[in-house]
Amino acid sequence: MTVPLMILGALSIVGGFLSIPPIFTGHKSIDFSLHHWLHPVLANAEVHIKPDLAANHGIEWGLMALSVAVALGSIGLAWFYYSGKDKLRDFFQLNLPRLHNLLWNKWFVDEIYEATLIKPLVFFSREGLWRIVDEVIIDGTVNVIAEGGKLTAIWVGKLQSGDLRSAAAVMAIGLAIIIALVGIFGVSGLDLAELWADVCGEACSGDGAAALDGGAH
Amino acid sequence: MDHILSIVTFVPLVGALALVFTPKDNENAIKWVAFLTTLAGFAVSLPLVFGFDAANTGMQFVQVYDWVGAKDWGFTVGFGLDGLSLWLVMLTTFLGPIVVAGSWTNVEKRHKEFFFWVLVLQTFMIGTFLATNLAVFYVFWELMLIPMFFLIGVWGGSERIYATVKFFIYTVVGSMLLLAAIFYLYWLHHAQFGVWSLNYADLMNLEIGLKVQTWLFLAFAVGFAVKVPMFPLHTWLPDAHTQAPTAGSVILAGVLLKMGTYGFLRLGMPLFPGAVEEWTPVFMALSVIGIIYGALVAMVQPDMKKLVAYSSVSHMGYIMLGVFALNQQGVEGGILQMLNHGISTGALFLLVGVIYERTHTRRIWDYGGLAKVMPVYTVLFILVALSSAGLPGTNGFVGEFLTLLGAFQWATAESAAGAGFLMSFGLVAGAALGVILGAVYLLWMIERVFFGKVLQEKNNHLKDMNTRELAVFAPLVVMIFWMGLFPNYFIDKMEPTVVAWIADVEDGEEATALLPADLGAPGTASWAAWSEQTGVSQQEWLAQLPTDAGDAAAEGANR
Repeated sequence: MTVPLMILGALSIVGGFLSIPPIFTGHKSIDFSLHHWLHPVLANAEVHIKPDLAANHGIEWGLMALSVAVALGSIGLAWFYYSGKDKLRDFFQLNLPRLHNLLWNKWFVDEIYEATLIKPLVFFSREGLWRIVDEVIIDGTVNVIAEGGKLTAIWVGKLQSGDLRSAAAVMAIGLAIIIALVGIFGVSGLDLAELWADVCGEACSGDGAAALDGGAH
Repeated sequence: MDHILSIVTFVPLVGALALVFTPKDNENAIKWVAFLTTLAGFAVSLPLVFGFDAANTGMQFVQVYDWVGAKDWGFTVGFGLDGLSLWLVMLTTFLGPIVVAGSWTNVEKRHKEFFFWVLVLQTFMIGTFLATNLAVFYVFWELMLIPMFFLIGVWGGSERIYATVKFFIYTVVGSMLLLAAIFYLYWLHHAQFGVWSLNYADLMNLEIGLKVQTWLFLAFAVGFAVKVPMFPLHTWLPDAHTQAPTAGSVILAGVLLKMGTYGFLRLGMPLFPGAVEEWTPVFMALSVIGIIYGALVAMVQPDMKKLVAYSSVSHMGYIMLGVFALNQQGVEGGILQMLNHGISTGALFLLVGVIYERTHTRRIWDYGGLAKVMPVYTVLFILVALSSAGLPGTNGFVGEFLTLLGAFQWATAESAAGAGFLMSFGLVAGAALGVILGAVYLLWMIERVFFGKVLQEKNNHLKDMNTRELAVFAPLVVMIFWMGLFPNYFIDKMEPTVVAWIADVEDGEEATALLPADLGAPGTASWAAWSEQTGVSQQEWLAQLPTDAGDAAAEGANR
């Protein structure tokens, strides 16, 4: 791990110089490409910090000082802790075993993460979204529609069997239904003139319709 | 240059015909004919980029042929290219040779037929992008299904028949609605102008009321949404992708899915802008659901190909999000993301194909520790996966970032217009969450496949990438960095067209507001018919509309 860390350390020194903020250079920002990388793409979506806020360098200095202080403090603490001179680590381990354990396990952040976020999310995604929503609900609906089409086709296909007797039987049933309907409701409901016009359209002269309708039109 | 679009379209078809006369035992000849054809197809399409006039927002290289003497009926074969379709055509021709070279050794039977269908499909896809007439568009659109049907159904995996039928039924149902709407537009154009036409440019002149627009838009939208695919019409995709041979998956992910988003861009949105305005929140919400849903389901897939398939559902959601945001960043990001997805996801499928060819398994748990055995393959895989996850410096970043930016602007405008938090910023926050999930499922797969111990003894002897395979990936890697580092080359070519397109759709939204909602319905197809039905003349209708000043005042009062 030491070698990669050394490489990263070296790079982090260089990386800071990619874009030097104007605060160090007066108002002339030294123009490295990073600053303007996506400039043309985002030309009409740019947001600038309010000039008075940008001009106030106090916040900028404060934040920089804070982060440098935190970094230096951590380095110092680590030095103290691991250098062995002070036996600070042993002191912790002996007198505050729980605190040591907590810190040693990185506040158990990984375990908390695993239990509260990762496991439930994976379970929900696998059993809920994939197995139920995708495979049962959506696919189920699609498959039912497809099966329905298939069953209808099989059922309707029986009408096309070419079997004369079943065709005659269907015809006889149909005729019986029509006769029964006419017997019950009579023919008064049928406007023959309209029917004639529908069948024949404007091609027929009015005579046909008139003849059927007894000249009512 | 006069006939360049037909040349670009039909070169692959000519190659397919040449294949017919190639002896079927001569595998090498078949592959070389296919490869050289697609290479030639790419070569003849290059002048499109260099000859393209970015400032011209209309159709370029236009060609119109009389079709079966049916000009009076509106059936002409029209081809044209503009900023919306330029890069998609280039993507198709670019992927052609890669697909053929990538299938060099993993087709196990019927080589001749396989490459025949790949070439034919190439022509159909280019034709769909270049069509300037709805009849031509629809013919190519449907024709694309046939090669895909055979590619999955004959050369697919063990459940290929189920996958093929599902794919076919899904897309055909969508296409039928599309066809019905196309016929309606055909009839409507005659009713309003007295001329039969299906040219895009003519159809854009139709005056359609909001109610009618809504029905037509939904019919178009379902047809396109199946292809995208949008949640909840996506379940054909994992099956089709998993069962398809590598070439089929690459074409499917690389180009076919873009047909759906292209359909929205080219037809769905400009033809029915009023309906788009009304339905934007729905499509935005479905896109975001798709982004998160696709990512979560991808995360738990045990099969690498299925994982990449579900990641497509997620990525296509970003494209729809950007396109429906209807602002410059969103639409440009959406188009860019179409290209990115074609390259990155296409490359991922190729990479899964490379390992599948060696081990005949795609299950993540069959691997582990590949980094030690196949270092070159590992580096390539991680690079492509990171580009798919949107690592800055690669193509995925620019597209994803722009779509999110466009969506954010949309949310700002929606919020200002009174939309609730959930339906504005909430949606964008959800989409941004998908970026994280994208990194999660890809990196988790990488961890399990490439790192740790080699779990299976036989994996210790896997061969790393050979020269042919490296040559296949080289152009893809170049594109990943080119588009990631210099996206402006690609954006500059489409920008004027996108700006004009957005203005068109926005003008259309305003124009729709001035029309009676039922104008264009069967009984009231034209203004004359509408006036006759309602007894109100066009002038009277327009006169009773609030004037601009009144409109603005009313809007001001609402705020």
